Amino acid sequence: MIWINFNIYYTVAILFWALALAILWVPTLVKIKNSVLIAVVFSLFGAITIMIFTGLLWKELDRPPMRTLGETRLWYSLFLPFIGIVTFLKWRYKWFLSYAIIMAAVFLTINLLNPETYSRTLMPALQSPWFVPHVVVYIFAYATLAASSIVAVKGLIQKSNHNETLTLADNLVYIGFSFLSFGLIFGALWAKEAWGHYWTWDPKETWAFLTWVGYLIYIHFRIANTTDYKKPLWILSMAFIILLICWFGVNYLPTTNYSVHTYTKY
Amino acid sequence: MNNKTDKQIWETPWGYKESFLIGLSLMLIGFLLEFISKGNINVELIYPNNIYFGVIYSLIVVLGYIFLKQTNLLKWFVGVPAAISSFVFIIFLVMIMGVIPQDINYGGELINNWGLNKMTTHWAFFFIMFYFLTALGFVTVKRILNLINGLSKFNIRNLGFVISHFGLWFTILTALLGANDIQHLKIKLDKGTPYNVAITSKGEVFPLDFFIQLNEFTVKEFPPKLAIVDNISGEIIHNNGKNLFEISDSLSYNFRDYNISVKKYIENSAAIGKNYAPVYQIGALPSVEMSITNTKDSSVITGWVTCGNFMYQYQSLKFSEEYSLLMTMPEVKHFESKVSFYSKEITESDISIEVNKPYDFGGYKVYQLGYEETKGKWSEYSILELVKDPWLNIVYFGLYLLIAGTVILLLTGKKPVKQ
Repeated sequence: MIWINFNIYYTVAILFWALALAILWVPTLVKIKNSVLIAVVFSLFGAITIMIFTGLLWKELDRPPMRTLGETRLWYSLFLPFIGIVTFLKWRYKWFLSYAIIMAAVFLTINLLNPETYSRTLMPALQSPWFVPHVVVYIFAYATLAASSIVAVKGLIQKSNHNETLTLADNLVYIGFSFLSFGLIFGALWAKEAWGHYWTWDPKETWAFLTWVGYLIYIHFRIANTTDYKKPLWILSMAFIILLICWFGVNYLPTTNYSVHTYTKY
Repeated sequence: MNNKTDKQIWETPWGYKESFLIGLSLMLIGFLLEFISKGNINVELIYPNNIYFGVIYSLIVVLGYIFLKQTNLLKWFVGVPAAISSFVFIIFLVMIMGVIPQDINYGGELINNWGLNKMTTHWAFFFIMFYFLTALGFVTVKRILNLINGLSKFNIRNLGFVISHFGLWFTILTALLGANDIQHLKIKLDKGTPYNVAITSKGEVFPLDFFIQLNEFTVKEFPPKLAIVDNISGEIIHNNGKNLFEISDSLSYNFRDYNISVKKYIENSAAIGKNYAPVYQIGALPSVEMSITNTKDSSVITGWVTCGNFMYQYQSLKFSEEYSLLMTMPEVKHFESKVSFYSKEITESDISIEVNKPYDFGGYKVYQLGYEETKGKWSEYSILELVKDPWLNIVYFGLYLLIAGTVILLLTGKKPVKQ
């Protein structure tokens, strides 16, 4: 059984976001002065639609919808537009808001094409007050760092203002990395309560640690090598690949059978 | 701090090249040592030696920086290239850990000879962590001294730097030092009998100075799910879980030309003749009476489906030549032990221990670990784990500092870029 009425919420959100993109890139569409702000409002409506769906799903499942990969993708599609909007309001990069929305739409589409089991099951290990903060903090970090990798890819492909690109990337990485640190530490504190030790080099922990060190390289490199442009962006792209392995890839590695972090069986 | 092109290697100041060569050498020495020793040289630091080691090491870091800060070695050690090279080698080694299962029974000769399946106790890992920690320690001492001497401004950002770096250094150092002092014990409790003998992680018997008695053990389960099985292949057509339906009294759904609906669901039941009736005794299992209507010819098939357990066979319901209906084993929602602790001084009764809710007694944290899984909710024993980690609060002190430092750095934002 699949998520109830997901296709309706999906369609509404995608429509809002399509409108937002259209207004952003075809300014003649709405003949008023601040048409970009209307685009922001539509982006927001799309995100709110997903928020409502997530809330209803939470109620329906009677547990935080944060257990399966599809559920984490849902939260990701929820956070990305917000990060896009906040960044847009501060920096006014149309492309940034657009990519954030498109990426959210892509993840939502993955969920539409791979509908997940509607399952209330929540194993005892996940029944903890740590569950929600741990996952929310992590997905927020992932979304922010995804945004930073968008900046990196854009910076590598196009010749743009180097200083601006790197400053934007820096800011996103600092926020994302802080939340990554909180997620990691909360995870350790939770693990002590659930499994008896705060760090066991479980494959998921191992890859989370790798992701964390990957972004440490970027941060430190930027401090010492302020004039380098391409290298930090490459580091940022590599770090994001590690992040994706941590999020999805771990399930395909030989180590996965040794992991206690497998919750996606139906 | 870019390497100038006319600088020869090993000419000071050392940059990335030299840092990577140093890191690489340390790692290769580690691998060679592991290869030669076949992992047989194990230095297990336990109390009180780990404390001596920790104190001496910390003194070396502090005094080393103070007395050698003018040397090229120390100037290099506190620099970014040294830090980054240590990160890169950590990534390399931890990635091995993340890809190759860390199980001494895993892998062929190559993996075993080079110790790739026991990276946490690997010499290369030890050397690289040592390199990383020392660089981190030196830079922390430097920044603390700069604050004290007034060489850097005493502002919130510099404070954030010191707190986060010190927190990380302290956490990793104490976690590594204390690792071998942690005691993991398991104890299997049959209902009603007080026990005071646990088993260590090495399988040795360990007498406790108190008794634990299991008074009650309860398992709660989620309702089982209905699945459709292909009669010919014998496989469940689960379609990534989409064809699995949680059983409830009102469940009714369509599958191809069939309407499948629940007539009656009994959580705890036993077979009585051809039917099932509610009972609550050992071996009782969930059962469901189903009604399946063929929407093409309106024919109806009814019958019982159960998942079976350690006492009873499962029962499926064939509703066409191709398909049968099956019940999956119910998943566990909650399990909990009610225990009493008795020591010479204290008695504590009616203590509830469940997953995510350990209980502190006699210096141990007591965890709900497992039970008799073949019997599920009719398990007659419970397994608890007792963990004593004398370093826990010390490690947590470092973790809290790391959190505080991260919060400060997050709130103070980006440092102006030096061009």
